Amino acid sequence: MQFESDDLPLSQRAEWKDVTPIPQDDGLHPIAPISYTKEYSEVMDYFRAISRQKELSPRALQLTEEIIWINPGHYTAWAYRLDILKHLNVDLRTELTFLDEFAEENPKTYQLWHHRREIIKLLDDPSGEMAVIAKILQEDSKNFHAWSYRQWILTRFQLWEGELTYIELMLDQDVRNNSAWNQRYFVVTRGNTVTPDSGATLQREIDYSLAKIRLAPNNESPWVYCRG
Amino acid sequence: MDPPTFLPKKHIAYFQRCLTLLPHPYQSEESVRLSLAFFCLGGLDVLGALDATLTDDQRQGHIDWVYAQQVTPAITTVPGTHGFRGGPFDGPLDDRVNGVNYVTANLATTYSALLSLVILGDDLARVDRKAIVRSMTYLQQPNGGIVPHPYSAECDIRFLYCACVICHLLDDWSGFDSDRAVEFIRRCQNYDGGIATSPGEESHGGMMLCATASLKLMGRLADGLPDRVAVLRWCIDRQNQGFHGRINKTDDTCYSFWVGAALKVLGHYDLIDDNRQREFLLTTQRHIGGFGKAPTEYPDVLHSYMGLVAFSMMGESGLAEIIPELNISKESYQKFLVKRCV
Repeated sequence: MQFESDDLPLSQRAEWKDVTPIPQDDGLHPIAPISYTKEYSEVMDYFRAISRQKELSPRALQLTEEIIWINPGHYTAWAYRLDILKHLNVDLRTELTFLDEFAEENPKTYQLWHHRREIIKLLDDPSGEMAVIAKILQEDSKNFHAWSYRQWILTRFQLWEGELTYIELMLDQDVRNNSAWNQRYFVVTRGNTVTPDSGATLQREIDYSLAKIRLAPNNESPWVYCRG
Repeated sequence: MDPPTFLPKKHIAYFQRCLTLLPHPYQSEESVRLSLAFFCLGGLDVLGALDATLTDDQRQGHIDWVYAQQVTPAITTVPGTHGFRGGPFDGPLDDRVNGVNYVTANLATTYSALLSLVILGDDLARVDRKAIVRSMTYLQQPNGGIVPHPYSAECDIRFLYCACVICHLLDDWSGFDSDRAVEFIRRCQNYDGGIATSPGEESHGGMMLCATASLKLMGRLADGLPDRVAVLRWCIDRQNQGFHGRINKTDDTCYSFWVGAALKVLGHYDLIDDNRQREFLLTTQRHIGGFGKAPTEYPDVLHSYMGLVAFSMMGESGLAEIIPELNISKESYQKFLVKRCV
């Protein structure tokens, strides 16, 4: 479905003509009121009007997108969005493409990554996810939302193969990346590709951390890893 | 040039401005507006400036505003939605006839609401305790962790901490399974002694306070984290000049609060180097009042509150003393206890 230009205020778009916006009621003594931009005030006025009716429509989907671009942590809008997607049977691959684009601008949003989990659960297909995460980690190798999501994908879909190699690449880039060290511990103790208790694994991990300590003796990460 | 000094008067002016109006960049955090409000009220409380800031009418008006955010069973019957929402952004709460969808409280803003009410001098008599306690039974998961509201899958230790403070202030733990919660906290402890947001993730300074404060409030600090030495070592190693939140990250104002308060809870605040921390915090303090996260950053209410509390914990004169596990001044909390007995 085609919409009029996003640049037009909602009040001037034909598809919103039938909706009466509901302004926010902040009472007489608001604490820490926010000086909203006109644009945000308006999309929220329409959000208040249609979310309480649980209108599950394409225009509502479009509205949630406009809201989360301005307020990425708007958990109500995200929850609403998920219901609309399910109800309209939207191609969830399109949603993933949107989330890729959204993650580039807002990589540290809790709601984004949890929404992505829900979409992947519905699709029950993680293909392409490891590459998406790798791209985000290339931008910020310590983004803990991305690492957390990576752990979820690894565990849910048992994709342990190749993870140690990836971690080694990350540590070759930055031996002080503690997120990567933590991921190494996670894979060694929980993955299915190695037996953590075996003497051989332990020895390999000790040798690996000692080698990294030699590279940079005051790097705390391999010391605590080795001790752990 | 004179060496920088701590600027309490500027901080008072900063929090007063923010309490009156937050600039538009905060709209991206409006879902947790009550937490932003708590930082302003808490900051003024620690600075001993609340009486000078609010008239009695304003104080009562603010109390009423917080109560206007209460989501009760009369508004929605969806399990787990009761408590306080972050603000009026998702619409009026009086329209049950048409059905109110997607309106929900969350544990973080319920926590902020209760603390704000106590700071404002309220006795919490208008809080629907039963509904909040019942909500918690829906939100706590079989693994002991807890999600903030029914539309969320973020099961982690941040909300577990909020739940503990809520149970403590309401003096009712019947909706919360402490044994499972302790088990969850233990599973969040990592090989490095630190605490993760949820099991398996990287240790994080904020989670250290969530874990230690929760255990203290549950009366399980002694047995909750068996390897106390590892915990202390992890905390102390977070100090460079100021504190950082994860191994090999740079210092950030807020970790002087998160890790510092955890050390207070553990009874080992003496292990930090006050002078170095003070030097760092004076570089993140802004001349217009408030603190940024790092020396070149603009101030924001979270970092301003946390920087200020760090000064309080170091014993800066003129600042109120904080109860670290509750994150509220001793004085406000004691007044509340007296009111509750009446």
